[in-house]
Amino acid sequence: MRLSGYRRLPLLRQRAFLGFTRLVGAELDHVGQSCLRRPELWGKPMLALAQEVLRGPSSWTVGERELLAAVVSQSNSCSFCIATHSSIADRALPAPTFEDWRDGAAGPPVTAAAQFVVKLTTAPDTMGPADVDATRDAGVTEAALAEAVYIAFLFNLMNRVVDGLAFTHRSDRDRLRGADMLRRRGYRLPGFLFVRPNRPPASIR
Amino acid sequence: MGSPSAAGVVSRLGPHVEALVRAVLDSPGATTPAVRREARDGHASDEVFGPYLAKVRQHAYRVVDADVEALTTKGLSDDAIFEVTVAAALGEAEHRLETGLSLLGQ
Repeated sequence: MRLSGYRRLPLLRQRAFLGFTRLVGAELDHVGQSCLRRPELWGKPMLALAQEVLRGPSSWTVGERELLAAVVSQSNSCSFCIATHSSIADRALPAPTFEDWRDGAAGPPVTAAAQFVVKLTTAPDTMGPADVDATRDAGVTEAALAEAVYIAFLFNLMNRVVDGLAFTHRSDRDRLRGADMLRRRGYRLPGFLFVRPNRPPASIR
Repeated sequence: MGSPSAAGVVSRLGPHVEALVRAVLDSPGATTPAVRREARDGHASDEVFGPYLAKVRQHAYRVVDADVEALTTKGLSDDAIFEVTVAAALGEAEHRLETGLSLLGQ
């Protein structure tokens, strides 16, 4: 975490919660910590979106959505998000798939949607109707493709924040257990952890 | 227009994106909404932010500690750096969302 002031949560209840997650070997990662530090500007609306996109009603299973999240993260070379979301995907899908997704291991619709979000991530200005046609030919409905586009939005945002600020996991064990918590419980944090934001310092510019 | 089902996805998820965009750009913070909009739109001052925000937008995995330390040395607070980072990332994400949905006619 490159922001030294963000390494310590501001409220006792937040620090106590963080301590609890450390005790059980699934430390709340820097994404979660950033949400607690900036709940109004970032945490509440971002988590609400993540929960709806990744756990709400969908044409895709949870495992398929997490796989698409990992694929977007792979396109952005975001090691932190690849590690978390490929782990969730591989646990949620019938068989581990992330390593072999390019070979079609997840099936034609998921593979086509994954190829679509890769191009949307790496070369958005080169996309055209043929890219949509390719997904349609693989059996992806327009609703399912729209859902994949929202996953691409979320992780093109998250990957940049994570790598810009150097978010990390405390250990591989914490990462794996944290991923399992996300798989089972989704992207919500207990409401008591969110409080009114601290009075911000004087504005610049 | 795209299919009604794609429109249904947009009507369900779009308000969450709009709420996030409003929060990132307009919430009280260490930076003004104008500064965050400049960061979101790729027009932030190079004099203030150096190469950092361009890296966040184009290849965030290449950001190094020195990029952020340079901002701190210039007097930017952690809150200010966090806000412009999120805003710059948001701009790139929105570009992809708009591109993807436009292909679906949404």
